Amino acid sequence: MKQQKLMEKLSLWQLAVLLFTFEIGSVAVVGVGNDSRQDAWIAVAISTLLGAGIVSFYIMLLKRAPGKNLFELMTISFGKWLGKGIGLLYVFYFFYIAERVLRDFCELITTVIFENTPIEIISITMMGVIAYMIYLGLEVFGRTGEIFIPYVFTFTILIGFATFFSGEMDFKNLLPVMAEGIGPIIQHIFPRLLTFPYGELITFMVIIPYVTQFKKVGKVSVITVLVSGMIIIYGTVIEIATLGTEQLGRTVFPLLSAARDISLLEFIERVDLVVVFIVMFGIITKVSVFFFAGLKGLEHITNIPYRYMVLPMATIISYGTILISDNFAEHVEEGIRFIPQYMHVPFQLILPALFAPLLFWRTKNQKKGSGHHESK
Amino acid sequence: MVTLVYFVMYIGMLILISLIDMFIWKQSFFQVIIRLFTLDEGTNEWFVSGTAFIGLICSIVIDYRLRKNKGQKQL
Repeated sequence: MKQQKLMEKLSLWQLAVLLFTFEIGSVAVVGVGNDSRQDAWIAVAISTLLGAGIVSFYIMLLKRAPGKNLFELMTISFGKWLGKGIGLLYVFYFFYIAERVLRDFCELITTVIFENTPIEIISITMMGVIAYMIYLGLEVFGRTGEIFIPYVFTFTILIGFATFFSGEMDFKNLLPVMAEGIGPIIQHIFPRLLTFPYGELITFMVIIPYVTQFKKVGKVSVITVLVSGMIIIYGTVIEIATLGTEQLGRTVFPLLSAARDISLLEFIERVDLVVVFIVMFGIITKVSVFFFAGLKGLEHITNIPYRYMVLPMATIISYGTILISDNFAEHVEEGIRFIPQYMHVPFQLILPALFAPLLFWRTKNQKKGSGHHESK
Repeated sequence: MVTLVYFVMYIGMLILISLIDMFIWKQSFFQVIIRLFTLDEGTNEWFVSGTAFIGLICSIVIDYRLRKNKGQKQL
């Protein structure tokens, strides 16, 4: 079957919006760096800088062959069959992480809002919405992000101020700073903080080729990662200052627990639903990006337009979301003990580092000759 | 082809989930697979199993339509 070339385009702003919401998606649910206790914000700050470096590396790879996505780059580097084989592994990785992210959200929803609704129903309906959005295309996905980003950004900022004015924050919880030195912080940064959420941006190697002003992608991506990093630091400080390190270590959904303490003028209360809204949009974006990336991988491998595979693959993801673990404790255990070391590190760091020299070698002659057809 | 992709992805995801469970729970592959396919009492796992089955039916229908379109184009 002849492949129908995707003619969709994303603007730089839409890319920035997607990057931002992708970054804060799962982080808003489960929090990051909690193992570093009161120094979590320092760990997040350092990993943000390293994350900006990782994104620059991914974009440097994309610039070697403009207009080509991650899967096409692997075919260039490893050849047709090995490239497609590794591409298939990436598809499994993307779909599996989509399942994990969706499970995070399903657990949150069934704990906080729909206590009597089966988690399976949440999984199926959320995946239905995501499948519909992806079926409509990348442009629709980008515009959806554009519509919701002002609310997400404003609500995130307001939650901090509301917690502060409620008198729930105690900045002494942030002390002592680096009581045990920088060692434990570095331990937590690699691999956990570096791979989640920054390394996960490897999925954008599938989306970035569709951005109109390709030349400016690097600058926009790095700035967006830094801005989202600042928001994550802001959220982490809220969580530590409001809950304290002891309660933070016990709570399952830290930002939600912090927002529950908000009480302004004895009138503005139960704003945790605002957090659920932020999380819901973040998760929809994150699952959609992983799902889209996986589908594009399948399109590359099979030469069938990805839209034909949206519905069947969406049902597999909603099925896998429930199957991956029996309960939330097991889900978190897998997320700590297995996923960072054995899935994130190979797919986010080792494989790109392996195919980078091959890609440079294979494109060294083309680089000077071919123009930047995508750039404007 | 879509049906083939469906089976590859379904089996691949099952193997991946099993390998992770084997690592976490130190169980054999067969123990883990049996646990995955067992519908636990009191849960609604059949909802998602049913949805996955609908996905399979959809992929068969899509393949049929693709083949039909291809045949019409050749004529």
